[in-house]
Amino acid sequence: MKKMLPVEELARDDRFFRSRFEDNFNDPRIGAQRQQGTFTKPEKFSPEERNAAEGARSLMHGIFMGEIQALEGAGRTCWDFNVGPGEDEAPFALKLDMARQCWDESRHVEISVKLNEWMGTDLGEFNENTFLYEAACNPDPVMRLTGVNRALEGLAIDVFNTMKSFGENCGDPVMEFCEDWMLADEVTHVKMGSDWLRKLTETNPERRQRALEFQRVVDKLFSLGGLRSDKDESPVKLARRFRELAGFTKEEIDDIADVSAEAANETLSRAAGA
Amino acid sequence: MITVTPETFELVQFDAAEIAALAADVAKAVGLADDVTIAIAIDETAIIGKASSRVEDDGRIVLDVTGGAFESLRKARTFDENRAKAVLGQALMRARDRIDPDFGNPPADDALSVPEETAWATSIEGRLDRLGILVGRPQRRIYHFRVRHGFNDTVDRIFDRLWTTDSITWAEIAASSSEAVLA
Repeated sequence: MKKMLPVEELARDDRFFRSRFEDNFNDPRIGAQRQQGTFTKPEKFSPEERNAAEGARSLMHGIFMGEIQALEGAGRTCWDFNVGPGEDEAPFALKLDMARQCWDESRHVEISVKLNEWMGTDLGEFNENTFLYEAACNPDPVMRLTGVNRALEGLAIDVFNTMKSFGENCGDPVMEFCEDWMLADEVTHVKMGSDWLRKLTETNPERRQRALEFQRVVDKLFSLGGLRSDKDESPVKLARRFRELAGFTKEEIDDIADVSAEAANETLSRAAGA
Repeated sequence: MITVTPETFELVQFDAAEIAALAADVAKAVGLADDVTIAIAIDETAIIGKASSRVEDDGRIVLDVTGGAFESLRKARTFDENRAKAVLGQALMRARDRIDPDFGNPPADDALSVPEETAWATSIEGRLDRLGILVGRPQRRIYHFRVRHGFNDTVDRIFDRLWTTDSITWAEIAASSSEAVLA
């Protein structure tokens, strides 16, 4: 079986349509809104907001696609690296953790399919963005675990916590409980990333620094222009408590909050034509 | 007569003639008279899907639609005929209800509360489904209805009533929404 499977070769049937992150980022309508002065920040997920239900359906479909890619990424990490201490190798126990994560992600895929049905969404109704799997293609397992487990699964903590609150506010017990269960798993996935980062870079500060810089880039990119931030009015709020449980220090969470605020400011600056 | 503005689009891949033809089909299907004038204004810069309709004093129906409302959920900035049909169906049926003296006197679109708007949309989608204009999506619609009104059996029964009733008034829709909120 091939090692390091490129994103183009992921198996998808014809229900699915892939979009490129850069196309969304460079959508010319943002510039047009800037010229007209009509740019508005995204709405918070709340039953009172007019587009909340459609926003929740879209986000839930995105979660489903993310779960598939998380399964594919963790599975590849089990396979792509030989057992060993090198930077292009992985300890057996790390691969075992990734195998356990595959089991969780498979369950999350099934839960997400059911939640999409519950919300009236067809699989493939929304496009697929493959950014999670792309972060899982790094040839260094430490980079993979910081990019995917700490940054993107960290984002998943924020998103699941948001969806759980949305379910709670709407009185939707199915959404609330499903998100809570998945959230509990995500906390362990992020903690795996935190633990392995510290363990594998214990005697190699330069490698740790590179990994943390990679995580910072991923965190900033996937703060989604301020969609995720530490502010109450943000559609996806940074879940500080769950991140602490996942092994983030207060300083690390503050740093993600800063990075998210930077991303939001850059989006607003672009929209304002600055 | 149906007009679509702008006549050409620069930021999205839409065709004004195609939209006008689709609107003509939907207008006929919802029962609007052949001689009614419909003006569709599309803001192609707006990404979030939104549409409103109003009936002017001279009987003209005006639709304000964002480009995002007609856009494919899978491929950004491209036209999605089924979504457009659903949006036009909602907006034109709302206008038809407003014209119908037996329907009553609902608030303007931008003055509707979110639960009221959702209840009216439920009634309309049920009617569009039976007219064959839309492929029925009751699960999506009931999710919207539950998000605004609550997740319980009473709310679901009110949803069914709104979905299945062909002849309905604004007072009945507003009362159903209030009843569901309190359920």
